Amino acid sequence: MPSVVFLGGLLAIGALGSPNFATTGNIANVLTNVTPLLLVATGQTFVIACRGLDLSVGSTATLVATLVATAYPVVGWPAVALGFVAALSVGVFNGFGVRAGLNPFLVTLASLSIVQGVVFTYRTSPGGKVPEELAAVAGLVGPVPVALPIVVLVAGLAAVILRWRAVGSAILATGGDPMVARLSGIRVGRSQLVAFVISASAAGLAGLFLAARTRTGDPLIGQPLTLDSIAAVVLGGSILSGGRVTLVGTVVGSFCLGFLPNVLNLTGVAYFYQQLVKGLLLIGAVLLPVAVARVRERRERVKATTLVTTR
Amino acid sequence: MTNHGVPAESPPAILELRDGRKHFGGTPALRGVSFDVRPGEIHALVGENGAGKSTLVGILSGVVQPDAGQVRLDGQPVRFAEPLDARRSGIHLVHQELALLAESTVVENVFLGSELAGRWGFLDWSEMRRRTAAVLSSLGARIDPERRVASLSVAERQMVEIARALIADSRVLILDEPTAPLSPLEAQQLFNVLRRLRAEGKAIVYISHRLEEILAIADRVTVLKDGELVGSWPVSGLTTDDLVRRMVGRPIEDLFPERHQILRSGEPILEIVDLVDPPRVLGVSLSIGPGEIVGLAGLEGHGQDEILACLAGERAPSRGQLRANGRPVPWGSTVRMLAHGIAFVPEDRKTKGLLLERSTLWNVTLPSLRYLSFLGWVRSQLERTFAEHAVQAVDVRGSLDAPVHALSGGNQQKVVLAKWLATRSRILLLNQPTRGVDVGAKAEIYALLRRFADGGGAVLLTSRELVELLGLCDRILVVRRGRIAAELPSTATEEEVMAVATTGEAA
Repeated sequence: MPSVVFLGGLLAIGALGSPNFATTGNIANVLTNVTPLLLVATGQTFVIACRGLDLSVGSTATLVATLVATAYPVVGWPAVALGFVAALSVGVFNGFGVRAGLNPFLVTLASLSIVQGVVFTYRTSPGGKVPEELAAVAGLVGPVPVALPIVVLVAGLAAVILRWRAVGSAILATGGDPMVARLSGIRVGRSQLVAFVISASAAGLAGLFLAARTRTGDPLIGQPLTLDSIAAVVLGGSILSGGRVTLVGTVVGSFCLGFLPNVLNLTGVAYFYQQLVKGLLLIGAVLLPVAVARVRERRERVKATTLVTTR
Repeated sequence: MTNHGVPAESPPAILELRDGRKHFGGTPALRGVSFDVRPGEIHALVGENGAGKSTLVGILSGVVQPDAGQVRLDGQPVRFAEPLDARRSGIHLVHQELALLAESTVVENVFLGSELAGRWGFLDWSEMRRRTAAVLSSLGARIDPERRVASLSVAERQMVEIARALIADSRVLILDEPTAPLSPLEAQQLFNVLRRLRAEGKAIVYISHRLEEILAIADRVTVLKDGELVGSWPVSGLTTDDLVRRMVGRPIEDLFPERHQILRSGEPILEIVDLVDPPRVLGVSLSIGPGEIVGLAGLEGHGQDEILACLAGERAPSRGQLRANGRPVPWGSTVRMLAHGIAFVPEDRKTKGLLLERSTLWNVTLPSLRYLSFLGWVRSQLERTFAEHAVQAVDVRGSLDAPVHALSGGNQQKVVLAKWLATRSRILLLNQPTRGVDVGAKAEIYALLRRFADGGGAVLLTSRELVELLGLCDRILVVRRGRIAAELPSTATEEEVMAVATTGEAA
């Protein structure tokens, strides 16, 4: 898995390149920062597993963050429930669209835009307020981020669903080959719906966390999550065309993307190079396994050919 | 004891279709056909492509909804609204294109859609693994349940499919051309499995284009023609000629075109020297002259496919020289091979030969577009005329503009041939030229290939059907362990070819 190599490399560079890297404060900071991406990428993994792509996750996170922050001063705690209902509705909308046979890319591109548009109707600049108890979730207890166990729980739950629940098999089968799945009695549409709802819920959790951490509702805060979540899944080694995914990979991939800016900042690499490095990392993750396989194959062929010749 | 007559006291049918009718658009696919299968019998279903076999089987397995007619299970009328209904009733269709998830493991596939859940609904993989291993070993297949299906051979995948049916406790097994992708040896193993299942009381519906097989393994045979029932007979006493006559109304010797005396001029059009492409090809030399049809015979996996793939430019061999029309050709590029007049008809027309969603016109002109365009703009009138000629030459019936997936298998294969013949290549390579093609279309394809050769072309083909190689080719090269083990004349017998293919020595 190339992402493990990358992560190891990043950690090594960080540790060697800056005395401030391997400090509890810094690590806790990165862990906190990567939390929303971990959540969203976990959800994205389900959608990719069933041969989809969810472009609306960033907007959905924004929706929840702004909705909670805007509604809390008015209605109090039910604002959180409201946020969740909103996230679920986005997932259901996507799920039904895809179930109806529409292209996931297009459906979620539409909902990305719609959701962002809805957010702008009530919030054009950061504002609102979140409950203190919620804000604490984004904080630390001693050196440990409060959200860490939550994230571990979510990722673990996701792994269990994919491997040990029938619905997980159904989602993977749907992505592997929808026709085969259908003939095996799997309700393909339902699997897609479930995957999109899971993705939207995860995005909702991420939105809640973002609101908690910033203590406000920022109408653009979720934006980078969309492409980063896809990058994290691919970086982790899942197949973008579905049917075979790895949650461990997604977690490692998310950490790669989380540690990358941190390590670059600490080692004094200018901000504008970070995008460049991220892109190279991504293409490397895609190319590395292919390159390794090719080199290995070539070596074997050469060996076999010399065997034939010398015989 | 290969042929069981139907016993006088035959058990009642498990699954039955009464007076089934189905139209697709305006075309009738099935016009009042009745069919049944009993426990402990293998009931073969034959007919040309387009005869209605797939529709009939589709109705029995819930894939197709009949316009009229009744499906009965154990004598009770049932309605299968979708494949799942049929599957739950114990009817398992083993598809021609095996319906397995390549990226998943064997055990995941075997239990797909019917996973065993233990406490709290958590899946019990260790139990599933255990049962999968047990069923596979009962089938005589040594396959690790944890292996990824993508790494299995076609024969192994078929065993996985059958294991699936058994795990689901199916009583009726429908096999759609199961031996088409198998080597003779693998086919024999499959027959042994089917005989065992029959002895256990399973009802088996067996579709095949290979009539010898049907005579060898089936108890009853039903012949369909143009969507109508020709009849059902016990197999004992029938010959392939009887069957062919009932299917198309002509005897088997008419299937293959006449060979002409070949004037082997000194100049071969296709020449390979010492081709090495590990691990399958370990030193192959051959040469083919104009007017020749040469067949590569051999057991599955001995290098025939790879030799053709190298010649097609799909694989880059690690050594060897190639000359086409007297000029040296470098390996490794499909485009270059085509430019040197080497055209390749791949084995799987659905994934490699055609773009199924596109029209006949589009498919046929694809490799020739550069000759049909001016400054990059396709001249559509010219394109259409070109396609019309190409299609006429192979006698494909059907609209030029309809997507090719609407055509029957035989017509699809003819479209593939039209596509490559129209490139005016002098060298034609074919892998399984008549896979999944009915008898009538087979004869037409053989005639086309012979006409191509008579026009000065060279044909190199490989097929798992020995009858086809022996009937069509001028020479047979038997491939064994990556080398040409022997060259046999067209008068060789199947036994002689098999002897070389299995032992490397002539019998």
